[in-house]
Amino acid sequence: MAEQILFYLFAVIAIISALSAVTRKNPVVSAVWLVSCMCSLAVIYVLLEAYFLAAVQVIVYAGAVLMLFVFVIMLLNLRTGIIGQFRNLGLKFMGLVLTVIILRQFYTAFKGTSLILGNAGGLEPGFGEARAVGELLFTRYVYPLELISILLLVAIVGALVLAGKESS
Amino acid sequence: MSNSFEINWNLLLPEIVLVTAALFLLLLGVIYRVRAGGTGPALAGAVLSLAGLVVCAFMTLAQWDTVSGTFHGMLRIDPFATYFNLLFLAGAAAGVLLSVREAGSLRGVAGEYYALLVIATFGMMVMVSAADLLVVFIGLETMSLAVYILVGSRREKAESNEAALKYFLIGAFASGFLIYGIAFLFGATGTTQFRGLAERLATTDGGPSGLQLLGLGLVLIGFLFKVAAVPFHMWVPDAYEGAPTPITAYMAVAVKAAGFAVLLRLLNVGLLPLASYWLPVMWTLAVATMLVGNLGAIFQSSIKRMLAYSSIAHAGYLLVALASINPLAANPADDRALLAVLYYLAIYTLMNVGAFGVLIYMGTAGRPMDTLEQVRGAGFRYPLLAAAMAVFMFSLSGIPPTGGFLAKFYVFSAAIDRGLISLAIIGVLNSAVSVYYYLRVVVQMYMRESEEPLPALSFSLPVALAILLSAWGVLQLGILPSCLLDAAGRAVQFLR
Repeated sequence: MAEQILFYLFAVIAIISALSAVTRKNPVVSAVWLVSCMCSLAVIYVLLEAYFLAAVQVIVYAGAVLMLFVFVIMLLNLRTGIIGQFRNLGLKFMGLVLTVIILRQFYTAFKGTSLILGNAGGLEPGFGEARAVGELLFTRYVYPLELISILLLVAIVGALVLAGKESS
Repeated sequence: MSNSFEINWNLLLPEIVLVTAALFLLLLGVIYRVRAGGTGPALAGAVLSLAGLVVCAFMTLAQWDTVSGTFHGMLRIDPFATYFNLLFLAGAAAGVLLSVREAGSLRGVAGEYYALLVIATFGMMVMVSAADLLVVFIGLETMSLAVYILVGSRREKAESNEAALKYFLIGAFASGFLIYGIAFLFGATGTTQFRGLAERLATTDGGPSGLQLLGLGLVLIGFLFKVAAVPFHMWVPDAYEGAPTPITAYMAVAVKAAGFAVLLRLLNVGLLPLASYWLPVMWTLAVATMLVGNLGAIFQSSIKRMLAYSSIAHAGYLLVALASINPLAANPADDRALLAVLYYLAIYTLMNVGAFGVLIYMGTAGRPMDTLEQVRGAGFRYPLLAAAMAVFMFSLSGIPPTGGFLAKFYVFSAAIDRGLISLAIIGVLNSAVSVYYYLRVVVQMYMRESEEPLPALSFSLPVALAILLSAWGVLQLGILPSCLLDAAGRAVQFLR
């Protein structure tokens, strides 16, 4: 029962934080809401017994990535004024209509789903620990893992091409 | 969890060659940056990347008879993958050839430019030989990220930056839809593997659940964005116009072919049990895409922008073929819609490489060829180039004896086979509209005089080679299509 309460509590916090992150006008405030969202997700991972993933979520996302966000926002010196310029009532109306349609779809998709969470079950002992995750990564998922190394290489090269110092 | 498993590295050999070539290209950039450049790095980069692509093509060709999978069923090499891999490699080689002349203006990032081109091709090969949605997604991101950067590689040009940023932001948004859809499909079926997905979807009691349909819709949005189908086409004109022209050609042919290839595999393997849900979607989007593409192209004065809208229109014709897929065909090689898509994409690659090649060739450093006014009188000043352009325009509008005619013919006859008469009629009418704007280019070249004398063009062997090969291909395959059709038939044989 405690698990259920914790899950719904942090699920609601995650949703509210995510909504706040996209609706706040000040980018720094948005970033802080994002931290809150990531941390509540980490709690949900813990409830799923994925401890290693929860730790990674906090260290990498809430720690490193969000820190970079805040750095970039400060370097660019974004002010609330810049974001306030995007005021287009027609677009907002269209957005509202599409949101209603999508929410309707979600309602149909989840209609009849029980709100009481089932038991995950069938988990091997040590399922969420670093060892199990590592073993999966280097056996079953070794191909995607290697591919991601190339994806990251592209990102680094791209940063160099787009933002590197001109050498002429 | 089993620890013992075998990996058949041979299947991955072509991809490994490409990545190795890309790494050497990156190294090249460093070496030349230390010793002050000139045109050296650009030329060396082109030679090295072409060499990599050719070696890779030979290794891919050697896999033509292979039907095999490895990496826990995440990689699947079959003739379908091999066919498209060769198509991507051809598109990339064309991109390199067309880039040679403009690469001098890359300001010291020539090595990186070619490396990204090669890695984007690698991403496409990963995508089309994937049998798992996770791998598809990573391949797609590798390709997209590299192409976003290539679009913005002309840093000194504002429109190049603008195009890259627009493409990146909308593309990232579309990727979000895709991964969201994959998550829903995983949640509904418990697997991301194509085969497993098909099994679970087929055995769901009482029809597909809402969750599965939601996943289907979101995944489709992600891929339809990549192939520039309406209503996910907004980025196309700006991205095509702002990108360096060789990259525009590469995007128009290879990125689109990759999108359609992976969509074909996904729809024909993983999502086949949901065919009765996605077939009507394809029907509707095909009509919308053809209309928007063709009507938009009429009003363009820039040839590059006109070709961008034309690429939307061609996505529409290809969607007609997707809407005509027969999900119950016993042997996919008998499904004429599948054959039509494969033939169409090969011809489409040739026509676009040729058309963009001519644009590149006609432009000079200070005066890029772009508007319709600029080509006036080109028919008399540059007779060979103009003749080639006329061939490509005839082919794009679907006039015999070019490959473009047969491609459209196969698509529309596949639609009629499946009883989609109204769709075929709409397609043919759209095709008739398209004749207007394609032939306008020919009319401007041959029937109008230019106000100022056209400059003399310097000979460029790589660009000329790309144009010549494309023109030959368009005519050869338009008159004798059987060898390509045989290859396409073999390619789809092991698809399902």
